[in-house]
Amino acid sequence: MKGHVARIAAFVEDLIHNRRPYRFKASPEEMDALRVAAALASLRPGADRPDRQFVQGINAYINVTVARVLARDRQYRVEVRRRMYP
Amino acid sequence: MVEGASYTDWETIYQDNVVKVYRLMFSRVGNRPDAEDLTSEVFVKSLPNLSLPSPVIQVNGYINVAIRSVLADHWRRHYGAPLVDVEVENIGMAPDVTRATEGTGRAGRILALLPDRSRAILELRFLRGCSIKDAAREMGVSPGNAKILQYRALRLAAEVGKAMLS
Repeated sequence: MKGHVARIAAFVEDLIHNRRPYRFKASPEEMDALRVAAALASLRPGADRPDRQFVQGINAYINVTVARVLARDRQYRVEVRRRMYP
Repeated sequence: MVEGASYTDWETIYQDNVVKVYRLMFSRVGNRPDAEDLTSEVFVKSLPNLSLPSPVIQVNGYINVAIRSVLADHWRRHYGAPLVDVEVENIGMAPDVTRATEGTGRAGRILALLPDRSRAILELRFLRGCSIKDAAREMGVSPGNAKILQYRALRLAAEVGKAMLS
């Protein structure tokens, strides 16, 4: 079990390498440190610029996912109507 | 897209907002994989609730609600944070993607207000991307002490940030 200094250090190390950071149950004091570390990580010039492939790829993913959600909702409404007015 | 206008398709909503949402998410989670996942989640959560055409202001409202909820859920799920309302800047108020987000601007101001040693360790780590060993060498301390210095500097920065908001 890591102490709070080591946990925060592991989290910061991951941010610096732009990796998905170490997860753990944080105390309120640690939570404050995590949030401020995340904000500081975006100070590096260009750090918060999205990857072009992500911006293009997510569009297709969202279209498919949203279409699936809407189709499910439509189906649900049809089912409800069928049950209410058989 | 001007404020009084309406969106007629998802594609335009997405194109107008994806970079803004991503940058806002990055300023809150500080890493690419999480920022990408959370950005996707925001759109998947907000778009099916919209009926088109929809006024820009209403779409921005849906996106803002989704951002707050996705961020709060992220900190709760992965770090056990209590589910509280997360304050974020309005996505409709940040039209220039080349400018720093409010979150990034505040982080810079916090850094400027810290005592020298606290600011130095955070600049070495976050701005120059130094390893803990290199940062320790620059500060003239052991790597173990550099980690403690870093932790204390982050706690102090969090307090400065809270004082700025109150």
